[in-house]
Amino acid sequence: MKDVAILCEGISKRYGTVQAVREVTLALERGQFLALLGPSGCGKTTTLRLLAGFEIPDSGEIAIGGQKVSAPGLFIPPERRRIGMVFQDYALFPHMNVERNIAYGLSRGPEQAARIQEVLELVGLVGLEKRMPHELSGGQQQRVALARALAARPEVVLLDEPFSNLDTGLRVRVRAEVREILARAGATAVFVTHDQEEALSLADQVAVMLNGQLVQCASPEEVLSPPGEPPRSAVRRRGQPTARPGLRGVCTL
Amino acid sequence: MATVSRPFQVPRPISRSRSQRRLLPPFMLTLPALGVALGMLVPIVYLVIRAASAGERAWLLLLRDRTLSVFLQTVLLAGTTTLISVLIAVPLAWLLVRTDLPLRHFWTVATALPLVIPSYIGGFTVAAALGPRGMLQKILEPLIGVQRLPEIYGFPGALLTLTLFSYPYVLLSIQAGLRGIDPSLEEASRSLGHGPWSTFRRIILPQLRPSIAAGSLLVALYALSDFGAVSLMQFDSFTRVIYMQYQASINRGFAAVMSLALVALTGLVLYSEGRTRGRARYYRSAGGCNRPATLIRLGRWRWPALAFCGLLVLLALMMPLGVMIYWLVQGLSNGEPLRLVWSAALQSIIASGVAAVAAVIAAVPVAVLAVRYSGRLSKWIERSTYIGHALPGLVVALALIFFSINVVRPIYQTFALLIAGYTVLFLPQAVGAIRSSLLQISPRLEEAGRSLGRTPRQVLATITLPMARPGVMAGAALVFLTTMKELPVTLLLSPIGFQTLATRIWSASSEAFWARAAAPALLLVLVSSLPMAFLVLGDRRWRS
Repeated sequence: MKDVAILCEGISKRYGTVQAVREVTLALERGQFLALLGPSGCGKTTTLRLLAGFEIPDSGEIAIGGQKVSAPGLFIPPERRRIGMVFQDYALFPHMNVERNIAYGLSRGPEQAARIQEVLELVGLVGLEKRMPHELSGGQQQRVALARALAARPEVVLLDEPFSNLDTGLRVRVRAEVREILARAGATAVFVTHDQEEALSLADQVAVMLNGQLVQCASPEEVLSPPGEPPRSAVRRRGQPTARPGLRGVCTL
Repeated sequence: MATVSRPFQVPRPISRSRSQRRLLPPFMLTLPALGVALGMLVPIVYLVIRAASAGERAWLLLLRDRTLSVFLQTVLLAGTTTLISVLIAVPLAWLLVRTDLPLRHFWTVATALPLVIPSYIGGFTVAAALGPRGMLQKILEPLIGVQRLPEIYGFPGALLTLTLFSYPYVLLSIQAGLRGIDPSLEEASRSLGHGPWSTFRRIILPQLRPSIAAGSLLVALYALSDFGAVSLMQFDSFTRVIYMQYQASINRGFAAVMSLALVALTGLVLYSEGRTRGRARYYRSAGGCNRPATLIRLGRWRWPALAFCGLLVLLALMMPLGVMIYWLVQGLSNGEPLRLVWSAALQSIIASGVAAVAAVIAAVPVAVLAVRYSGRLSKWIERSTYIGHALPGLVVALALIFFSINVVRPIYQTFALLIAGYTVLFLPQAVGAIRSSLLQISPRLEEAGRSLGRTPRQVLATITLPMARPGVMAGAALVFLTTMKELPVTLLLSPIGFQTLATRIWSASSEAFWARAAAPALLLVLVSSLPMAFLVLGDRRWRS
């Protein structure tokens, strides 16, 4: 296996009686895009939040960039995980302008201003530094969120339903832009979506989740037509593991 | 491939027991919040200790007939005040919100304004205007030869004063409730064959029950803990009897025992309101899609409606203002010095300002803990601040006096103790205001801050608090406003020589020097209207 950015081994999380995430194991190479695909309530967002460190897993281990961040008796808080997160509603700080939003994750110093310009160029928002978040369009807000997440050169970028707040016409275009930006930044990304087309068109790897379990993890082509089965069967056949035996809930590359 | 610009840091691991699976609040939040909670407990705990050590005689005094009559009179006063306030507020709120009453916006403001008149100012204006040989009698004598009006002192005066200056609490609560009712419920009822009156009785009134209960609770607590109006009207309710026991200083243990009995009464009222709320559930329609309801045409009924509003505003607003202005002019022409009023105003502003800052500082950790880290500890801490709600000001002041004399003598009769008293009393208001603005901040924003490498403390300082600023400001304004008007704590805990507007008004009006009370009273009403305007306008800005 090459350079591994994310390694999850058997992570589980339950809320009261609800088992939100069950024994999920995955690995992701540096520079690759992983889509967590599934219907709402399947545990994909919880998985993302476990990676980010907003939730503490009940069991299992997580390593980011070769550094163990969560294991029995060990919990690294989100601010020390070297992640960048793009939230569903972008979560731009409404009391700060674009520049200060982006600067928020950077340490103060002479390189700060240069880095802000760099990421603004990357997302194509040069000249809008002084705008407040509410003075931007939805697509621009999303690019600010992306720039903010990328500014400190995180190990991985986590995106929670990144396109659900955009209308359909805009969505396809913005999708391509985001993909392009992430690729140019050389980022490793995990994004959560319930839109099959979105997952298949954006990701290098697609992890399909159902009822808290990982039921399939494969390249988009394989998810479209797994050996001997018609497309999307994994999603239709609730709770059934995919065709390959021995790989239940395990995603390898 | 992402390049690492910062030197690779080895993260410090945080060990946790395996069973611990929730994010714990940071200590810098828990510790101050715990301190605040313990501080809130001091008055009530010390009151219990003091009452327990009061000796058998004090407890036997509690069983006298007189105590029972004080109890019954207090309950009667609070109950009647609440009932009449509701009877005024329900039709008034309906007129203001749902009908085409002429000058609706003017009446909306004018009927809410009596809120800025504290009960002891209201009490003195009622006594000065409607007393046996008051201003009304002076007007009537040359006209119809009235020598003496019926006695106003006692129950009628106390009831009139408390009702006139506390009904806005129910009114505001019911107005908010009416605005929240989905108009389609009403339309559904009308389409099913019910007329306006039947719809009001069967659909609107039941929906309003929580608002009526919440407003009534405020009025009942106001009446139970009022000290100014009952003392001026010489009506023996709990607070007046306790104060006289304390002043006479024959048996201060008995004052403690009586205070405890009063606390039990307020506790009972709070508990029963909580129970009625717990049983019923009321759902609002889905947010955002509420159309404004169509206004009901009053037609000929607008004349009695206008007369009703006019009479109320005349009694609750014009009369007190008129009395104050009349006596101010009288006082000025008789050479009443204004110099003392300015220094008292300054002292009032200083005390209220410091109290507002202290209450907000104490409230922030409690509110953040309650909103972001719900758990048994944070719930317990938040509940402890409600003590300020249940304890009448007079009781807080007495408990703090007992406590400082017996435990921390050096702070007795200091400015610090006065501020502590205000903070205990008004902390719930500050917590409430900050809490509601924190609830509007998406937790995603704080998570975004964490994901960008900031510690919980940095996130609190750079994101949460700046965004909660409107709530913090509103909480401070609210505490400022109520501290300005506060009487019993100021009266009992002020250091010697510390004279605020409230204490000046009190000392003048309790000896019926109306001319001397008028100037500080007018000034107090004016100054406390400013934060009120801020609150009303600020509220409007949030809604839009």
